[in-house]
Amino acid sequence: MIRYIFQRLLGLLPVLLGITLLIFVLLRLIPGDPAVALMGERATPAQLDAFREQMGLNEPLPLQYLSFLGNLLRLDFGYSIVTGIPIVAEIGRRWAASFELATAALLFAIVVGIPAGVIAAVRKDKWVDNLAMTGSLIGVSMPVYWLGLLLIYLFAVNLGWLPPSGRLGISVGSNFQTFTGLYVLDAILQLNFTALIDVLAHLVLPAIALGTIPLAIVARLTRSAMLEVLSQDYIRTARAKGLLERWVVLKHALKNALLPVITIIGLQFGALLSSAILTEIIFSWPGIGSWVYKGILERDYPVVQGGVFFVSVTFVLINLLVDISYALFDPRIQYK
Amino acid sequence: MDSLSPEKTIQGQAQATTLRRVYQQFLKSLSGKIGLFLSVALGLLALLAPLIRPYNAATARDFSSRLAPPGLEHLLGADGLGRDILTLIIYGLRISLVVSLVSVGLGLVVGTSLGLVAGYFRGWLDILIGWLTDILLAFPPILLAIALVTVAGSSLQSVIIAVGVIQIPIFIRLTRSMVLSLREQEFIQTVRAFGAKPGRIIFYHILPASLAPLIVQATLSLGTATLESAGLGFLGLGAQPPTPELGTMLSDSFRSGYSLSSPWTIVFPGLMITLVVLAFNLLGDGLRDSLDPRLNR
Repeated sequence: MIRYIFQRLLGLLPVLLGITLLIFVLLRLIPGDPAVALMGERATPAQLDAFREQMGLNEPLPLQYLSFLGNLLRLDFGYSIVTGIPIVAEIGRRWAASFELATAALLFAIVVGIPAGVIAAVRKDKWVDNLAMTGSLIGVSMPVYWLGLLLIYLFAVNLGWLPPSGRLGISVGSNFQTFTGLYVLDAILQLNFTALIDVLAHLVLPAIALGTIPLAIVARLTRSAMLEVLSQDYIRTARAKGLLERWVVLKHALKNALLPVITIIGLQFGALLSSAILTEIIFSWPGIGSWVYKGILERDYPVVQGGVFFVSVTFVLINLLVDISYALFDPRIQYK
Repeated sequence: MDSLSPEKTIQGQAQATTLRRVYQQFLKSLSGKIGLFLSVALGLLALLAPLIRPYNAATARDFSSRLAPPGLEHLLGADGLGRDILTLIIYGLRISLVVSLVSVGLGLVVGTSLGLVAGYFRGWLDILIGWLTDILLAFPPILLAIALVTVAGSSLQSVIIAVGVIQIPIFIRLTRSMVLSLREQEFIQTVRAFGAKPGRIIFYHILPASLAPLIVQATLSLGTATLESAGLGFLGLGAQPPTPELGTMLSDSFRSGYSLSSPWTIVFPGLMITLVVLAFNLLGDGLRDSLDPRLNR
């Protein structure tokens, strides 16, 4: 097992190298001179040159790439050209926001999706099943940002139940301190319940918008896994023993149907952390996706380099973790 | 399927029966039928757009009906420039269908070719292609698409290329795994024993046998491609105004704040995107049920 993990980690190296190479090449291919973009059209050639010198943009490309790699190894992502804030600090802050949103979205998907899938499987081809499956099909077919806009219109603008954007209300924000960057956790640690309610209220709409696609996927997968398990011999045995149907479904069937569901949940988590760009923009959520997007528009090389590298590495690592845990939990899987 | 004989007549007969079986199976699938109906209807709507458009999409700006709510004059209302939303979404549909069809076609051709090469020849080519696939898959698709469009410049062509590129890896993986299992099967080994060249084996024997899962995947990819291209449009990276693009319409409405005051400016473009994606997903489900009997549940 340890050997398997080691091999998988080793196999990761060329991929990571490829990621850095692709990021580097793509960034250099973006049309437009970052010096001109940032110093303005009126900057004198001398000013532009000094800026390029300072940012290392005058070095030959292979040298720039090598120094880029060296900095990555030291976890030195540099500073944002636009704001001057160190990339690492910004990633830390943004990361917490993205993590909180992805967790909330996934919780929503699990809490609604697994029961929906179980009920649909037990009532196969009945109206509940049809409703759940139609719903999940529509769920995966909707643009996330569209759903977000509709939710904002309905629940924030029309009904006024929930805040339309941001992580924290202004009135609460003044006496709220963050330690972890995870506002829910911070509010609980400080026993600040007004803030907790406010933070949770801000989470609801973006979490629903972001969680809808995973919800649909989880529900469909739970249903098909349950259907497969429910047709097994040991379920028939359990029923023949005269066990309560509820007990058979929850204890015997669901437990065994959950493995593929857990895998897909893990993979979805990686995807949610990194691809919530559109949701973050709609809800003005200060996460990592909207930050990288802004970096691309402003040609803020260090932001894009650091952000995209960080996002894709997390994505790869989470997927690897899911693979390994899959091998750990399912003794039928051979690893060599 | 797996008893395909190398002799032409038998193969022909087998294909005819297979087609009939697929067709019968497809008719049994409700989602397939709905998906087919929706796809055909949307396709016709897009094709016939110039004949049925109530207004001229790009030019008919009637400022007196700015943000007019849905009514007799503008069935689905008007946008911030006084353009008829029904007309805009029909034209948006055309663009959306063209973008997703071309980009998935691109991803399918490139991905399948690379997958065939990797799976059949193995060796360093397989390693190289596998490496490329892993790298492409390491990036969240939308992020990679944004980066590619930024490099190529915001335009419809860039969107097609970017969305096409992010479809490639799944077709590489799928084709490669199909080839790996097929190349060891008896009918391929028989053909090889008769001295057929790799090109012939790949294109006349392996590719036809891998078509079913590829068709299913391509149909489902049409749905994701539609979502991704609309997403790029929403980020302002797609077709530039005044081209009516569904994602751009949503973004205009969001950025101007009309989404809050005049909800019809977001409801209908989004509904159109959802309908298109739904049609492809249903069709894909139906095709999977009928083309791939192993997956039948």
